[in-house]
Amino acid sequence: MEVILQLLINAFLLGGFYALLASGFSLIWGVLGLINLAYGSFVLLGAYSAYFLHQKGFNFWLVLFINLFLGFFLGLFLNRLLFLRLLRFEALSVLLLTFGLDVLISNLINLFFKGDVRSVSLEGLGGSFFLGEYILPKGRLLVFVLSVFFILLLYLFLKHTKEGRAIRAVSMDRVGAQLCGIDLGRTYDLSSALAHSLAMFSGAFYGLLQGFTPFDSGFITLKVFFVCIAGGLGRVEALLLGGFALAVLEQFSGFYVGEGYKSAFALLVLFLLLAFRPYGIFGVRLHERA
Amino acid sequence: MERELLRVEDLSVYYGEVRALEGISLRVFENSAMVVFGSNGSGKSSLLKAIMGLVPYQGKVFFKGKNIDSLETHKRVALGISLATDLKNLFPYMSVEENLLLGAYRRGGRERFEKVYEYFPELFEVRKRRVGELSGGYQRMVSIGRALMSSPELLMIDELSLGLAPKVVERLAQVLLEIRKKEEVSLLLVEQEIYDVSSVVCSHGYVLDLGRLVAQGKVKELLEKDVVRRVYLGIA
Repeated sequence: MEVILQLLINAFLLGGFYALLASGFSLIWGVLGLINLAYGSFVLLGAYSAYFLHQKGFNFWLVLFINLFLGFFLGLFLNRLLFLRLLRFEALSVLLLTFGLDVLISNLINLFFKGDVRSVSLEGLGGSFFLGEYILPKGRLLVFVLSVFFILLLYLFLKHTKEGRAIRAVSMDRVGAQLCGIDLGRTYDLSSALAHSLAMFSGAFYGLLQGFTPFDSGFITLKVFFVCIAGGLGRVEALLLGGFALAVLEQFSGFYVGEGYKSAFALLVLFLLLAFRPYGIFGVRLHERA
Repeated sequence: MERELLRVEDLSVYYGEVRALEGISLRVFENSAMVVFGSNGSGKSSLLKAIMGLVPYQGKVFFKGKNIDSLETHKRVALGISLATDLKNLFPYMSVEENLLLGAYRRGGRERFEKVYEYFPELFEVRKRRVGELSGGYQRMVSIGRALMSSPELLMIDELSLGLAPKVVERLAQVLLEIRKKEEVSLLLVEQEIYDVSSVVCSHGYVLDLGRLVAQGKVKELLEKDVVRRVYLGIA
């Protein structure tokens, strides 16, 4: 029983981070309708930027803000350069083009940083807190608290600000949004900027939690895809549920079957979800949206 | 003298090879109410979409004397044109209040809530409920209310009576009459049924058939015209 509870605690802490990790991916998918296979490489860019800047003596908290700004402008640039053009393309072309971008970014990172495993380490985050018999690793706890805090901020932004409402409106009905006077191009700009900001921001946390190489982007994109499919698109709460679902699956399969099988299990469940519940475990059926 | 608010000149809309509208010219004057009648597939909705800039078109559209062909939809809304479409363009996961608030995104403001709730007191009762949970009649009220939130000078409504019970349609017609009295707004409705809600609200009308305007005149006199009897009743 203790083991199960410890695994659930681990999953709980990791799930909050997964929700943040997937938030940008979900935003681009929901608003622009694009599945961005290069998303994982932007998370990695965030991890490498944190690694590089921290190595150069920058304070980690400052690095987080630099990542936020870098991601914002990168997202804006990418939207103007690529995404707005992709909106006219078929889904398969979008997948191929973003996959190509992913390969390009991964190889550029490899060119600059080489293929060694890197990680970001912070002083004072090495140990753990103890809750009776249960262990709460300090690093994971910090990432969990900050992730949930930023998810909450995202929720409040989308729910209670004019621009946030515009983003939600565009994700529900583009024509309806235009009829309200919402500028689609501006909303796409903001969504892409925000999404890549979140990607690079969570990339710094990714670097804190585990080692990374330039070719991990596929794994990351798979994780965020799982979170979005399991939780369902369109709601911030769904990200948390999807994040916890993935974390529980990984923790339990990793412990009872073996670390090496974690991704295989996630893929198997993803396949089953797409086959039997494509609207997500907790999501809303598309015909119920109408 | 009547001042012109909207002028459509020689407007054509094509979807690929398919012609939806051809050579349409019409005018809407300030503080007037016009209706465009037409059966299914006659091009009524395409006409409204073209005026809003939602579909590409040939021809010219003027609003308050200014050519708006190059303006995107959101800029046309900013000028004072508003369209209440049929129910599919609402935001079903948002509350009634959020839907209304989005209507004031470009112009108008929160103070317009009071006006909308004055016209539709029913909406105040359900303001916290999600629009997707409401009946068709309520959704129609949200759709008109949302369009009114921007204080439009031209309010266009796509098939107000479609799928609604006669009592609800009657109620909506009364509200439109009230809006005409209290607001400086012109109405452009499109309807399938001649002598439906529009005959109560509008004085003048046009008739569309297979993408072309085939008749125009006073609503009550339209059915007397041979061409309208042929289009609607199959008799001449």
